[in-house]
Amino acid sequence: MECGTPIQFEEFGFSSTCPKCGAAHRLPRDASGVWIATYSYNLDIIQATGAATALICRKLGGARKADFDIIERYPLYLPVWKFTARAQGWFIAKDGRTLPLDIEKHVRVPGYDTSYIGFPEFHEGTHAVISSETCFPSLQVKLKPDVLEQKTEELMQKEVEHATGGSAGRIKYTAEEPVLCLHPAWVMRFRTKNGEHTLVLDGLTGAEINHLDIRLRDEKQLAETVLAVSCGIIAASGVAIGAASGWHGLAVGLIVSGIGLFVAVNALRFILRAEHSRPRAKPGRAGA
Amino acid sequence: MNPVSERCPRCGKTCVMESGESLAYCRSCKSLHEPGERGNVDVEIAKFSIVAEGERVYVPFWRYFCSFKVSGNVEHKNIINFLTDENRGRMFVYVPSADIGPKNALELGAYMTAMSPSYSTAVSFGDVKRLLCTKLSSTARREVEYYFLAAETAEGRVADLRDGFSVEPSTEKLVYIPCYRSGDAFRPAV
Repeated sequence: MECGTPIQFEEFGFSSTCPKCGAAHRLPRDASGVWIATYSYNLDIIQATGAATALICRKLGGARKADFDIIERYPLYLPVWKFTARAQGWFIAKDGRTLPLDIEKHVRVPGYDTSYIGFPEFHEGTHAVISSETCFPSLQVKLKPDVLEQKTEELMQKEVEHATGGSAGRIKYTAEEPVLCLHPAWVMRFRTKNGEHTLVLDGLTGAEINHLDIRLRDEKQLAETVLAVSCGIIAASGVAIGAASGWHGLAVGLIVSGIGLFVAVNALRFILRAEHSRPRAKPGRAGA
Repeated sequence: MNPVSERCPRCGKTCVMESGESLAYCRSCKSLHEPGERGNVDVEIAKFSIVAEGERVYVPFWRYFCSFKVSGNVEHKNIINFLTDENRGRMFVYVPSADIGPKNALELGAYMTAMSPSYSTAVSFGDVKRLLCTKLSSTARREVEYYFLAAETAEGRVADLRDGFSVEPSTEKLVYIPCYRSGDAFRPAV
């Protein structure tokens, strides 16, 4: 940055070196001394709305934009702890020897209550830029830095048990170089016939975070199901009559009419939907 | 909040840092410090005092002066003996802080802690390569007990792993110990 070259930070680290001039850089700290990494949004509000609309349509089983209204959309930072969890110490093996133990792994732990919002999935190679934005709201940090070592013990329990075979020893758990990352998210509130729902999208990738379970359970779906089942019954009865009684004319007629009815009704629905969703010219721009 | 440029806590000038290193170096006042910290790191460079085969390198260690509290329990008589032979409950613990692999780190840390060799010091590395210090002092401080036990439990003293003693690291110093490297193995040259 001193020489104008962009600085890259590792995901699990708070300091970095300029590849050109070698100048040292570090993340900023808050008042309590915690390193803070604020990521920039990869998706702006238009891209996020587009991603949300496509996702909602898919979730509602091919519903149209007219079937729901996005009533509120806002950015929100999710506090996520990133650190190296380490279990180090000595244990007594089953043969009586004392053996060293040193296991470490990179972990990402939500610093907020995930029951409603969910937790983003992290993929290697996702591009994130450290941001100077501080105007967006952030969820409150529920997991304080002084309990990270306790959290590390919980996270490393399985690995330690596997390595020691459950033997006793002196194991120390540490959370090394914790960084509080403010992960960008978009919150989309929308309304369907069944009520209001909230969808949370990853501000870096556009992926869904809260895995919302919604279905459009209305009379339209019921009608479609009844129609499909009726057509199936007509066609199946044609097959049955043809096989049992030898009235081939009637059988073929029933099969053809069952399939034909299904195709005709669906074609009509498709045409009507296409007509309905065709964009209309806005009044102010009509003559332009 | 934007990333910030690291400045020397002593003279305020911009510092440089090698990729992968955890210490920033000020070219102006020739001092080392940890990013974000207000004080400089106290550094000591030991002189080579043994001639052996292999590549000459300097390996960084965080050295802590530690006080021990041991209960009078008979189970801890080994620790009590280990501590009170010469040092009266206080000793140096060396924590390797370069990427030399867990096996080498354990061996070197245990050797340096157990032997606590005396050495004369140098003012520079000369033409000898130094390994990068990749560990912060705060991280190394938490590993003091591990390396103390590495030195102390070398004979497999099961009882020493039980509770009843505690380690209190106090002053710290970054010490560059000269070593001979042959293949993946390191041998201290002090």
